[in-house]
Amino acid sequence: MACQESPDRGFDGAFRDLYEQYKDRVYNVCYRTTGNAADALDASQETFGILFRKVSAFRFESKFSSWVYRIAVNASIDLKRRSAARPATSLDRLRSPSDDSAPIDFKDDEVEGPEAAATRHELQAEIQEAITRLSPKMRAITVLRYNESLSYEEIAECLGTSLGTVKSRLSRAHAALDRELTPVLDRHHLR
Amino acid sequence: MNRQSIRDAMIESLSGVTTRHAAEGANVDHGTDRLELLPQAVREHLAENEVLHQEWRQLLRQVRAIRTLERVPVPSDLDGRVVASLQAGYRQERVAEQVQALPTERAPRELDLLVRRLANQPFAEASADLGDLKAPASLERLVAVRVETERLARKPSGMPRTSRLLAAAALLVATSLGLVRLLGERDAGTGDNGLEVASFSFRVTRMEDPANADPALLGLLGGMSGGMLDGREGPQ
Repeated sequence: MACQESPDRGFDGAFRDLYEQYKDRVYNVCYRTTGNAADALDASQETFGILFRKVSAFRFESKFSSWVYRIAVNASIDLKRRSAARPATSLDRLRSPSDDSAPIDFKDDEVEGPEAAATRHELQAEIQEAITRLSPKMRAITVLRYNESLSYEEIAECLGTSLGTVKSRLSRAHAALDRELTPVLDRHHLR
Repeated sequence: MNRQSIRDAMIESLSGVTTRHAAEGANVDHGTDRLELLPQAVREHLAENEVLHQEWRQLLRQVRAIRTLERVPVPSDLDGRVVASLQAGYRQERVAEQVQALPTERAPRELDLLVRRLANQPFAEASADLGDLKAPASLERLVAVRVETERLARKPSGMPRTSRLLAAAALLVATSLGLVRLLGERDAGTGDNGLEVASFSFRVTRMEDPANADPALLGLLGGMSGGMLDGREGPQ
Protein backbone atom coordinates (compact mmCIF):
# COMPACT_ATOMS: atom_id res chain seq x y z
CA MET A 1 0.00 0.00 0.00
CA ALA A 2 1.44 3.34 -1.00
CA CYS A 3 1.12 5.85 1.75
CA GLN A 4 3.70 8.45 0.90
CA GLU A 5 1.65 11.51 1.70
CA SER A 6 3.35 14.85 1.93
CA PRO A 7 2.41 16.98 4.91
CA ASP A 8 1.75 19.83 2.53
CA ARG A 9 -0.96 17.77 0.92
CA GLY A 10 -2.61 17.40 4.27
CA PHE A 11 -4.50 14.29 5.06
CA ASP A 12 -5.80 13.03 1.77
CA GLY A 13 -5.51 10.03 -0.46
CA ALA A 14 -4.65 6.62 0.92
CA PHE A 15 -4.23 7.83 4.50
CA ARG A 16 -7.62 9.47 4.52
CA ASP A 17 -9.25 6.36 3.05
CA LEU A 18 -7.58 4.18 5.63
CA TYR A 19 -8.61 6.48 8.42
CA GLU A 20 -12.20 6.69 7.25
CA GLN A 21 -12.40 2.94 6.85
CA TYR A 22 -11.07 2.11 10.30
CA LYS A 23 -11.81 5.04 12.57
CA ASP A 24 -15.09 3.63 13.87
CA ARG A 25 -13.61 0.22 14.64
CA VAL A 26 -10.45 1.67 16.15
CA TYR A 27 -12.28 4.19 18.32
CA ASN A 28 -14.84 1.67 19.54
CA VAL A 29 -12.21 -0.91 20.45
CA CYS A 30 -10.23 1.79 22.25
CA TYR A 31 -13.35 3.05 24.01
CA ARG A 32 -14.44 -0.37 25.20
CA THR A 33 -10.91 -1.37 26.18
CA THR A 34 -9.97 1.80 28.03
CA GLY A 35 -13.46 2.43 29.36
CA ASN A 36 -13.64 6.17 28.79
CA ALA A 37 -13.73 8.74 26.00
CA ALA A 38 -10.57 10.68 26.87
CA ASP A 39 -8.33 7.62 26.94
CA ALA A 40 -10.07 6.22 23.85
CA LEU A 41 -9.22 9.40 21.97
CA ASP A 42 -5.56 9.22 23.02
CA ALA A 43 -5.33 5.53 22.19
CA SER A 44 -7.00 6.04 18.79
CA GLN A 45 -4.59 8.84 17.94
CA GLU A 46 -1.69 6.62 18.95
CA THR A 47 -3.12 3.77 16.87
CA PHE A 48 -3.33 5.83 13.69
CA GLY A 49 0.12 7.30 14.32
CA ILE A 50 1.59 3.79 14.48
CA LEU A 51 -0.53 2.63 11.57
CA PHE A 52 0.66 5.41 9.29
CA ARG A 53 4.28 5.00 10.32
CA LYS A 54 4.33 1.26 9.80
CA VAL A 55 1.82 0.65 7.05
CA SER A 56 4.47 0.50 4.35
CA ALA A 57 6.15 -2.35 6.23
CA PHE A 58 2.93 -4.40 6.46
CA ARG A 59 3.56 -7.68 4.65
CA PHE A 60 -0.01 -8.98 4.40
CA GLU A 61 0.94 -12.12 6.29
CA SER A 62 -2.20 -11.56 8.36
CA LYS A 63 -5.48 -9.80 7.66
CA PHE A 64 -4.98 -6.06 7.54
CA SER A 65 -7.94 -5.48 9.85
CA SER A 66 -6.45 -7.89 12.41
CA TRP A 67 -3.26 -5.86 12.36
CA VAL A 68 -5.21 -2.65 12.91
CA TYR A 69 -7.14 -4.20 15.81
CA ARG A 70 -3.89 -5.45 17.28
CA ILE A 71 -2.38 -1.96 17.27
CA ALA A 72 -5.56 -0.49 18.76
CA VAL A 73 -5.73 -3.08 21.54
CA ASN A 74 -2.05 -2.69 22.38
CA ALA A 75 -2.28 1.12 22.34
CA SER A 76 -5.27 0.98 24.68
CA ILE A 77 -3.67 -1.46 27.08
CA ASP A 78 -0.37 0.47 27.08
CA LEU A 79 -2.20 3.70 27.75
CA LYS A 80 -4.11 2.20 30.66
CA ARG A 81 -0.88 0.78 32.03
CA ARG A 82 0.83 4.17 31.81
CA SER A 83 -2.06 5.94 33.46
CA ALA A 84 -2.51 3.30 36.15
CA ALA A 85 -1.15 5.72 38.72
CA ARG A 86 -3.78 8.30 37.85
CA PRO A 87 -7.12 8.25 39.69
CA ALA A 88 -9.65 5.94 38.08
CA THR A 89 -12.31 7.43 35.84
CA SER A 90 -15.54 7.79 37.69
CA LEU A 91 -18.82 6.45 36.45
CA ASP A 92 -20.08 10.03 36.37
CA ARG A 93 -17.63 10.79 33.61
CA LEU A 94 -18.90 7.87 31.57
CA ARG A 95 -22.43 9.07 32.00
CA SER A 96 -21.74 12.75 31.49
CA PRO A 97 -24.26 14.24 29.07
CA SER A 98 -21.61 16.65 27.83
CA ASP A 99 -19.44 13.75 26.73
CA ASP A 100 -19.82 13.80 22.98
CA SER A 101 -18.66 10.22 22.83
CA ALA A 102 -21.57 8.88 24.81
CA PRO A 103 -23.15 5.94 23.03
CA ILE A 104 -25.52 6.83 20.22
CA ASP A 105 -29.07 6.87 21.34
CA PHE A 106 -30.68 4.70 18.74
CA LYS A 107 -33.94 4.75 20.63
CA ASP A 108 -36.02 7.88 20.81
CA ASP A 109 -36.08 9.02 24.42
CA GLU A 110 -39.55 10.52 23.84
CA VAL A 111 -40.90 7.13 22.83
CA GLU A 112 -38.85 5.20 25.36
CA GLY A 113 -39.57 7.60 28.17
CA PRO A 114 -36.95 9.62 29.99
CA GLU A 115 -36.86 7.33 32.98
CA ALA A 116 -36.35 4.23 30.88
CA ALA A 117 -33.67 6.01 28.84
CA ALA A 118 -31.86 7.03 32.01
CA THR A 119 -32.01 3.47 33.31
CA ARG A 120 -30.65 2.16 30.02
CA HIS A 121 -27.76 4.65 30.07
CA GLU A 122 -26.99 3.70 33.65
CA LEU A 123 -27.06 0.00 32.82
CA GLN A 124 -24.73 0.48 29.85
CA ALA A 125 -22.29 2.44 31.99
CA GLU A 126 -22.32 -0.32 34.61
CA ILE A 127 -21.78 -3.04 32.02
CA GLN A 128 -18.85 -1.04 30.63
CA GLU A 129 -17.46 -0.67 34.15
CA ALA A 130 -17.66 -4.43 34.65
CA ILE A 131 -15.73 -4.99 31.42
CA THR A 132 -13.16 -2.38 32.43
CA ARG A 133 -12.55 -4.25 35.67
CA LEU A 134 -11.37 -7.33 33.76
CA SER A 135 -7.65 -7.83 33.26
CA PRO A 136 -6.31 -6.19 30.07
CA LYS A 137 -6.05 -9.50 28.19
CA MET A 138 -9.53 -10.63 29.16
CA ARG A 139 -10.93 -7.20 28.38
CA ALA A 140 -9.35 -7.24 24.94
CA ILE A 141 -10.68 -10.66 24.09
CA THR A 142 -14.18 -9.81 25.35
CA VAL A 143 -14.33 -6.63 23.32
CA LEU A 144 -13.00 -8.25 20.15
CA ARG A 145 -15.37 -11.19 20.41
CA TYR A 146 -18.61 -9.55 21.52
CA ASN A 147 -18.35 -5.91 20.50
CA GLU A 148 -16.44 -6.40 17.26
CA SER A 149 -17.80 -9.88 16.49
CA LEU A 150 -14.45 -11.33 15.45
CA SER A 151 -13.97 -15.05 14.92
CA TYR A 152 -11.55 -17.03 17.06
CA GLU A 153 -9.11 -17.11 14.15
CA GLU A 154 -9.22 -13.32 13.77
CA ILE A 155 -8.78 -12.82 17.51
CA ALA A 156 -5.78 -15.17 17.50
CA GLU A 157 -4.25 -13.06 14.70
CA CYS A 158 -4.99 -9.81 16.50
CA LEU A 159 -3.52 -10.91 19.79
CA GLY A 160 -0.72 -12.98 18.30
CA THR A 161 -1.80 -16.11 20.15
CA SER A 162 -2.96 -19.62 19.29
CA LEU A 163 -6.59 -20.69 18.92
CA GLY A 164 -6.24 -22.73 22.10
CA THR A 165 -5.15 -19.66 24.02
CA VAL A 166 -8.07 -17.68 22.64
CA LYS A 167 -10.50 -20.36 23.81
CA SER A 168 -9.03 -20.74 27.27
CA ARG A 169 -8.69 -16.99 27.76
CA LEU A 170 -12.27 -16.41 26.68
CA SER A 171 -13.44 -19.10 29.07
CA ARG A 172 -11.58 -17.37 31.89
CA ALA A 173 -12.99 -14.02 30.79
CA HIS A 174 -16.50 -15.45 31.18
CA ALA A 175 -15.66 -16.71 34.65
CA ALA A 176 -14.47 -13.19 35.54
CA LEU A 177 -17.52 -11.64 33.92
CA ASP A 178 -19.67 -13.89 36.05
CA ARG A 179 -18.22 -12.21 39.12
CA GLU A 180 -18.26 -8.67 37.74
CA LEU A 181 -21.44 -8.62 35.73
CA THR A 182 -23.87 -10.82 37.62
CA PRO A 183 -24.49 -8.33 40.47
CA VAL A 184 -25.17 -5.59 37.88
CA LEU A 185 -27.62 -7.74 35.94
CA ASP A 186 -29.32 -8.90 39.13
CA ARG A 187 -29.75 -5.31 40.23
CA HIS A 188 -31.37 -4.45 36.92
CA HIS A 189 -33.46 -7.65 36.89
CA LEU A 190 -32.02 -8.80 33.61
CA ARG A 191 -32.22 -12.42 32.52
CA MET B 1 -17.95 -34.66 25.44
CA ASN B 2 -16.33 -33.72 28.71
CA ARG B 3 -17.34 -30.77 30.83
CA GLN B 4 -14.70 -28.41 29.42
CA SER B 5 -15.49 -29.23 25.80
CA ILE B 6 -19.18 -28.63 26.47
CA ARG B 7 -18.34 -25.27 28.04
CA ASP B 8 -16.07 -24.41 25.09
CA ALA B 9 -18.86 -25.32 22.66
CA MET B 10 -21.34 -23.20 24.60
CA ILE B 11 -19.00 -20.22 24.58
CA GLU B 12 -18.33 -20.63 20.87
CA SER B 13 -22.09 -20.70 20.22
CA LEU B 14 -22.48 -17.33 21.92
CA SER B 15 -21.32 -15.66 18.70
CA GLY B 16 -24.86 -16.31 17.51
CA VAL B 17 -26.28 -13.91 20.08
CA THR B 18 -27.52 -10.92 18.15
CA THR B 19 -28.56 -7.50 19.35
CA ARG B 20 -32.17 -8.69 18.93
CA HIS B 21 -31.46 -11.56 21.30
CA ALA B 22 -29.80 -9.07 23.62
CA ALA B 23 -32.99 -7.05 23.84
CA GLU B 24 -34.82 -10.17 25.01
CA GLY B 25 -32.80 -10.11 28.20
CA ALA B 26 -34.53 -6.92 29.28
CA ASN B 27 -37.93 -8.52 28.97
CA VAL B 28 -38.54 -11.30 31.45
CA ASP B 29 -41.67 -12.33 29.58
CA HIS B 30 -39.89 -12.89 26.31
CA GLY B 31 -36.47 -13.98 27.53
CA THR B 32 -35.60 -17.41 26.16
CA ASP B 33 -32.75 -19.80 26.61
CA ARG B 34 -31.97 -19.69 22.89
CA LEU B 35 -31.00 -23.34 22.90
CA GLU B 36 -31.18 -23.34 19.11
CA LEU B 37 -27.81 -21.56 19.09
CA LEU B 38 -26.17 -24.69 20.50
CA PRO B 39 -25.05 -27.77 18.56
CA GLN B 40 -27.43 -30.72 18.91
CA ALA B 41 -24.92 -32.76 20.96
CA VAL B 42 -24.60 -29.97 23.50
CA ARG B 43 -28.36 -29.48 23.68
CA GLU B 44 -28.72 -33.14 24.60
CA HIS B 45 -26.26 -32.73 27.47
CA LEU B 46 -28.12 -29.68 28.70
CA ALA B 47 -31.42 -31.51 28.61
CA GLU B 48 -30.01 -34.07 31.01
CA ASN B 49 -27.99 -31.79 33.23
CA GLU B 50 -29.54 -28.79 34.95
CA VAL B 51 -26.14 -27.50 36.15
CA LEU B 52 -24.94 -27.27 32.56
CA HIS B 53 -28.20 -25.69 31.52
CA GLN B 54 -27.78 -23.07 34.23
CA GLU B 55 -24.22 -22.42 33.08
CA TRP B 56 -25.52 -21.80 29.55
CA ARG B 57 -28.12 -19.34 30.89
CA GLN B 58 -25.40 -17.46 32.76
CA LEU B 59 -23.16 -17.26 29.68
CA LEU B 60 -26.07 -16.16 27.54
CA ARG B 61 -27.00 -13.53 30.08
CA GLN B 62 -23.49 -12.07 30.06
CA VAL B 63 -23.30 -11.85 26.31
CA ARG B 64 -26.80 -10.42 25.96
CA ALA B 65 -25.73 -7.66 28.35
CA ILE B 66 -22.51 -6.93 26.46
CA ARG B 67 -24.35 -6.91 23.15
CA THR B 68 -26.61 -4.13 24.44
CA LEU B 69 -23.61 -1.80 24.40
CA GLU B 70 -24.14 0.47 21.44
CA ARG B 71 -21.53 1.70 18.99
CA VAL B 72 -19.89 4.89 20.18
CA PRO B 73 -19.68 7.76 17.68
CA VAL B 74 -16.15 8.87 16.81
CA PRO B 75 -15.52 12.33 18.30
CA SER B 76 -14.98 15.01 15.71
CA ASP B 77 -11.64 16.08 17.21
CA LEU B 78 -10.04 12.74 16.38
CA ASP B 79 -9.57 13.94 12.77
CA GLY B 80 -7.57 16.98 13.87
CA ARG B 81 -5.50 15.02 16.34
CA VAL B 82 -4.60 12.38 13.78
CA VAL B 83 -3.61 15.03 11.22
CA ALA B 84 -1.45 16.81 13.83
CA SER B 85 0.20 13.56 14.84
CA LEU B 86 0.83 12.64 11.21
CA GLN B 87 2.47 15.99 10.53
CA ALA B 88 4.57 15.74 13.69
CA GLY B 89 5.76 12.35 12.43
CA TYR B 90 6.82 13.89 9.13
CA ARG B 91 8.68 16.69 10.92
CA GLN B 92 10.52 14.15 13.04
CA GLU B 93 11.49 12.11 9.98
CA ARG B 94 12.72 15.23 8.19
CA VAL B 95 14.83 16.32 11.17
CA ALA B 96 16.29 12.83 11.50
CA GLU B 97 17.26 12.90 7.83
CA GLN B 98 18.87 16.32 8.28
CA VAL B 99 20.86 15.18 11.28
CA GLN B 100 21.92 12.08 9.33
CA ALA B 101 23.09 14.35 6.53
CA LEU B 102 25.43 16.31 8.80
CA PRO B 103 29.08 15.53 8.00
CA THR B 104 30.65 13.08 10.40
CA GLU B 105 33.76 14.23 12.17
CA ARG B 106 36.54 11.95 13.33
CA ALA B 107 37.16 12.36 17.01
CA PRO B 108 40.46 14.12 17.68
CA ARG B 109 43.04 11.82 19.23
CA GLU B 110 42.96 13.72 22.53
CA LEU B 111 39.24 13.11 22.89
CA ASP B 112 39.69 9.50 21.93
CA LEU B 113 42.31 9.05 24.65
CA LEU B 114 40.15 10.84 27.18
CA VAL B 115 37.24 8.55 26.46
CA ARG B 116 39.44 5.47 26.73
CA ARG B 117 40.81 6.65 30.06
CA LEU B 118 37.32 7.26 31.43
CA ALA B 119 36.07 3.97 30.10
CA ASN B 120 38.72 2.03 31.97
CA GLN B 121 38.16 3.73 35.30
CA PRO B 122 35.78 2.37 37.92
CA PHE B 123 32.36 3.99 37.76
CA ALA B 124 32.78 6.13 40.89
CA GLU B 125 36.13 7.54 39.78
CA ALA B 126 34.92 8.28 36.28
CA SER B 127 31.85 10.07 37.69
CA ALA B 128 34.01 12.14 40.02
CA ASP B 129 36.32 13.10 37.15
CA LEU B 130 33.46 14.41 35.07
CA GLY B 131 33.17 17.63 37.02
CA ASP B 132 36.73 18.62 36.13
CA LEU B 133 36.65 17.68 32.48
CA LYS B 134 37.63 20.25 29.94
CA ALA B 135 37.27 19.95 26.21
CA PRO B 136 40.64 18.94 24.72
CA ALA B 137 42.41 21.73 22.87
CA SER B 138 42.22 19.82 19.60
CA LEU B 139 38.44 19.70 19.89
CA GLU B 140 38.31 23.42 20.56
CA ARG B 141 40.47 24.00 17.47
CA LEU B 142 38.20 21.77 15.41
CA VAL B 143 35.23 23.81 16.56
CA ALA B 144 36.90 27.06 15.61
CA VAL B 145 37.80 25.75 12.14
CA ARG B 146 34.29 24.46 11.49
CA VAL B 147 32.70 27.67 12.71
CA GLU B 148 34.91 29.70 10.41
CA THR B 149 34.32 27.38 7.45
CA GLU B 150 30.61 27.60 8.01
CA ARG B 151 30.72 31.36 8.24
CA LEU B 152 32.76 31.72 5.08
CA ALA B 153 30.68 29.27 3.12
CA ARG B 154 27.49 30.95 4.30
CA LYS B 155 25.74 27.74 3.64
CA PRO B 156 22.05 28.02 4.34
CA SER B 157 21.18 25.72 7.19
CA GLY B 158 18.98 22.83 6.22
CA MET B 159 17.62 22.76 9.72
CA PRO B 160 15.28 25.35 11.16
CA ARG B 161 16.97 27.70 13.62
CA THR B 162 20.12 25.64 13.79
CA SER B 163 23.39 25.74 12.04
CA ARG B 164 26.13 23.24 11.50
CA LEU B 165 28.50 24.36 14.20
CA LEU B 166 30.47 22.13 16.46
CA ALA B 167 29.84 22.66 20.15
CA ALA B 168 32.80 21.15 21.93
CA ALA B 169 31.53 21.46 25.45
CA ALA B 170 28.15 19.95 24.70
CA LEU B 171 29.78 17.11 22.84
CA LEU B 172 32.13 16.42 25.69
CA VAL B 173 29.40 16.44 28.30
CA ALA B 174 27.13 14.27 26.20
CA THR B 175 29.94 11.83 25.47
CA SER B 176 30.92 11.70 29.11
CA LEU B 177 27.38 11.12 30.30
CA GLY B 178 27.01 8.35 27.79
CA LEU B 179 30.20 6.82 29.10
CA VAL B 180 29.11 7.09 32.70
CA ARG B 181 25.95 5.21 31.81
CA LEU B 182 27.98 2.54 30.05
CA LEU B 183 30.32 2.26 32.99
CA GLY B 184 27.38 2.00 35.37
CA GLU B 185 25.92 -0.80 33.29
CA ARG B 186 29.31 -2.50 33.13
CA ASP B 187 29.84 -2.35 36.89
CA ALA B 188 26.31 -3.46 37.65
CA GLY B 189 26.43 -6.23 35.09
CA THR B 190 28.87 -8.96 34.34
CA GLY B 191 31.72 -7.61 36.37
CA ASP B 192 33.91 -7.03 33.34
CA ASN B 193 36.83 -4.91 34.28
CA GLY B 194 37.61 -3.44 30.92
CA LEU B 195 35.47 -1.73 28.35
CA GLU B 196 36.46 -1.95 24.72
CA VAL B 197 36.31 1.51 23.22
CA ALA B 198 36.80 1.84 19.50
CA SER B 199 37.74 5.12 17.89
CA PHE B 200 34.58 6.94 17.10
CA SER B 201 33.18 9.64 14.94
CA PHE B 202 30.33 11.99 15.68
CA ARG B 203 27.92 14.56 14.36
CA VAL B 204 27.29 17.80 16.13
CA THR B 205 24.73 20.50 15.67
CA ARG B 206 24.29 23.65 17.66
CA MET B 207 20.93 25.18 18.42
CA GLU B 208 21.05 28.92 18.20
CA ASP B 209 18.03 29.26 20.42
CA PRO B 210 16.80 26.10 22.10
CA ALA B 211 13.66 27.90 23.22
CA ASN B 212 12.64 28.24 19.59
CA ALA B 213 14.05 24.98 18.32
CA ASP B 214 11.89 22.43 16.61
CA PRO B 215 10.56 20.08 19.33
CA ALA B 216 11.23 17.15 17.01
CA LEU B 217 14.90 18.17 16.79
CA LEU B 218 15.14 18.59 20.55
CA GLY B 219 13.60 15.18 21.05
CA LEU B 220 15.97 13.54 18.61
CA LEU B 221 19.06 15.22 20.05
CA GLY B 222 17.84 14.39 23.52
CA GLY B 223 17.77 10.74 22.60
CA MET B 224 21.15 10.88 20.90
CA SER B 225 22.82 12.65 23.81
CA GLY B 226 21.50 10.35 26.50
CA GLY B 227 19.03 12.94 27.72
CA MET B 228 21.54 15.75 28.02
CA LEU B 229 19.77 17.90 25.47
CA ASP B 230 16.22 17.00 26.46
CA GLY B 231 15.47 20.25 28.22
CA ARG B 232 15.42 23.65 26.67
CA GLU B 233 17.75 24.82 29.41
CA GLY B 234 20.44 22.35 28.34
CA PRO B 235 23.74 23.19 26.72
CA GLN B 236 23.62 24.82 23.35
